[in-house]
Amino acid sequence: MVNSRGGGETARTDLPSGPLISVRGLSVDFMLRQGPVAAVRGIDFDLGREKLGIVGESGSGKSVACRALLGLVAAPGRVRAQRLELFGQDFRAAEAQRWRQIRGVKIGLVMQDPRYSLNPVQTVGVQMSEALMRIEPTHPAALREAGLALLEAVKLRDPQRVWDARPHELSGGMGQRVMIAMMLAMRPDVLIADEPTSALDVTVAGEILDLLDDLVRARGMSLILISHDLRLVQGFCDRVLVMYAGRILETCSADSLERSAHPYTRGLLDCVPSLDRPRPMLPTLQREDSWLA
Amino acid sequence: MARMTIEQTAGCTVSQEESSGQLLEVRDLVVRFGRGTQAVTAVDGVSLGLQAGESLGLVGESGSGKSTILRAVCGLVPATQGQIQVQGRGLSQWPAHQRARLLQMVFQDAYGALHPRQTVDAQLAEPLLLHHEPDVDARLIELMAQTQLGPELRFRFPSQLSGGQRQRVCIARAMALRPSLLLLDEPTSALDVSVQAEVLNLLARLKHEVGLSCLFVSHDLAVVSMLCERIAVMQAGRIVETTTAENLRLGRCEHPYTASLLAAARRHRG
Amino acid sequence: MMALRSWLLDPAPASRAQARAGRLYLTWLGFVASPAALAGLVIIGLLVFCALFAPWLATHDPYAQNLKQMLQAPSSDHWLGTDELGRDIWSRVMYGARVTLGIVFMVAVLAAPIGLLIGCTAGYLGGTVDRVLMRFTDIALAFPRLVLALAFVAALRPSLENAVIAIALTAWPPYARLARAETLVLRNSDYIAAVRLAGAGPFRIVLRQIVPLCLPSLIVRVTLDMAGVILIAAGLGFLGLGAQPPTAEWGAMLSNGRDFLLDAWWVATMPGIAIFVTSLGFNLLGDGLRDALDPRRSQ
Repeated sequence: MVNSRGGGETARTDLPSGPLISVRGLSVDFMLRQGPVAAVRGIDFDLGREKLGIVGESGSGKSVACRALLGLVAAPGRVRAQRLELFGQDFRAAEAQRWRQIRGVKIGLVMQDPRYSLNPVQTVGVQMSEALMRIEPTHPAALREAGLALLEAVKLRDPQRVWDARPHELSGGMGQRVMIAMMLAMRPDVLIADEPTSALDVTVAGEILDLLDDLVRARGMSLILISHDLRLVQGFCDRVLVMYAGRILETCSADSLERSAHPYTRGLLDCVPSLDRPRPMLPTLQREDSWLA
Repeated sequence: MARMTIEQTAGCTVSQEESSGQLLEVRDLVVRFGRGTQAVTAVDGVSLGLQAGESLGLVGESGSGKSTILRAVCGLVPATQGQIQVQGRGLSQWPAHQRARLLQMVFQDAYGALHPRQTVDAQLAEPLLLHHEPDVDARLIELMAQTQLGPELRFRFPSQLSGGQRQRVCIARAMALRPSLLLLDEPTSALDVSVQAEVLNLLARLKHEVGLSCLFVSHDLAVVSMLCERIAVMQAGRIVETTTAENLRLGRCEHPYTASLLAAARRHRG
Repeated sequence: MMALRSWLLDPAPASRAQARAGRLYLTWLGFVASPAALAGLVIIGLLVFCALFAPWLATHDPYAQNLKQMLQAPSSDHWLGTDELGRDIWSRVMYGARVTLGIVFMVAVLAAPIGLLIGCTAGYLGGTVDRVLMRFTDIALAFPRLVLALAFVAALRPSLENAVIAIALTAWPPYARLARAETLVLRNSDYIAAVRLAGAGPFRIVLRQIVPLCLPSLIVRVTLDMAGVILIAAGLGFLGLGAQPPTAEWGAMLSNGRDFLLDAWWVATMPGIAIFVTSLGFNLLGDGLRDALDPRRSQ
């Protein structure tokens, strides 16, 4: 495995040829007291060595679908798929042990709000050491050194202070960098980022996205970025999936997104207020019943 | 209401009579939390003014103090120093009942701004009952129609509503007493873009129909420029620049912080 | 039945009553999902049933003495045997259920509202009011229940009413602390801010907004405390400070049965089992209510 900064993508020789993740007919249902709810209704997609964006509104099933890729859908949720291949292996009926080998190790997850993803009573150092112990159990000094190196890799200005701080003492952007650092510790091949910048200000969000971009390039990772912000995904990813009510309505490259003819995608693109195009009223999304079919 | 009181403001004399057209006037507002070395100055000497029918946007990052200004203006947070005057009278001189008819606030998190165990009906009726509205039922139905809330939502609980519906209930509640000034604290930040468009359209319509004045806080320049004629940029508790949407559009800004906000916004939008 | 269910689960309720009924129904469904909770409810239901229908369920007059029949083992005549005065234990247990239910009800009705109001007021108003009320609560909390009951007996005469008052007087402080803790969190919510902005005064806010939110945890706490209340009443009866003879109160019955434990074990054991089962019932019910009323559960 070669890690080089700048320049083109790093060639990974240890990955199977073909898509890293291949999904066909993935469905997730939740058996609730009031009745079954279909969160994801038969989606197909592949992930290669690319940055894939999954866009949709709340309730479109984008987060649930990615949780299914990590085996994180617990009862009363039920996952079914015709094909669920991760790194060439079939995971449709995988037991907990196999999921543990993949989760966090080969596929990393960064979530939206670091305040809720980090343990509030432990310092960052303690939590990172715990993560690092999983890879290579060693004595605390070595763990601290490795941890500080990771915190520097995510461009935190004062790694020592962050190491000794508790999550509530960090700003949103710093907390998110810590989350990314913890995820990087495992050196995953795929990174799933679930709305990583939604809780952040626009300037900080830009910095986090730059960071993710650098890391993805330097370490040759693939990225799935989940967001409700189509413009954000358009500027950052190579390919985009547009989800609505549990289905994928459109798949296209980020460049051709602007020219999309699908009414839902167009609606999402047009309903965002823009500084350059002042409009007294914004066009609102007209939802078709046919999309629910 | 034309009292002849002379106020000194930063060396220049402004007569009360002249400023009676001002809906809101904030002078040298300082809001400090805590004491001594632990004190945090959230707002550090902010002055702004708003005419009736006008809308002002407050833009800045988290921690810039913009939400605190809103809370100070409606009296939820005490001002450490400075003056806040609504329609020519100091904020503390307005009795709570009358103040409620002047200014209202829409909070960022609609879910946290609605009582979890009361129906929409009960929550919209509360301000009406407090102010002895003659026909609560009719006014309630009118409010729901005005904010495009279907009648089937009337007796639901907040947990049974979508994010956009909740925010519309909050707006309906704020509009119940027909306030002159609406304070909006990032009302669309937690909403999907499609729902945000609907809520922004609703606010634009209310502005137009009712002549509502807004003090709109956001970190999103595009959202703010849609509804507000003037925009004040805040950083670390101070207003660094006051400009217009037009200027921003043309990229004309004086303060470097404004420039960085513009650049981030442009880049974010692809 | 199906029509009622669909009316309750209607996504567009037509009135506040319908909405509240629907919500209650969903809470009920959550409650009965737990077998333990249901068991607790059944037990307490049985208690109420026995208390209400004691005159019909009892086979004999609970106060009728028959020295020729004293200390009889359980038989078809006397289902749970007889005590040292020949009174039928089954009938006395049935009538004792009335006494127990009465004690529980009176303590709940006296202590819970007082604690709730004091706690919510202190929590919402803060400052001096909070300090004064909480110091008052601390003083009340410092009284041990049995010592207070003894003091009452010394001042007044020993009776069931005085025992209930003594228990209630020491039961409210924990409820006040609970209500205050909840209020401290709730008063910073945006919906309270919104109602304040609408011009509502503090009393209206406390009564209409905050108290309804404190009720679930208070109900759970009171239910769980009931088991303790029964045991304390039984303890007071055991000491002769509560129900006076010949009232059929389980604790007093247990006390009387002490002397015959080796020869006629049923005299003490039967009321003892009744106390145990009822306490268990309240504990299970309280646990079940806590799980069902937990606001963090999704609906």
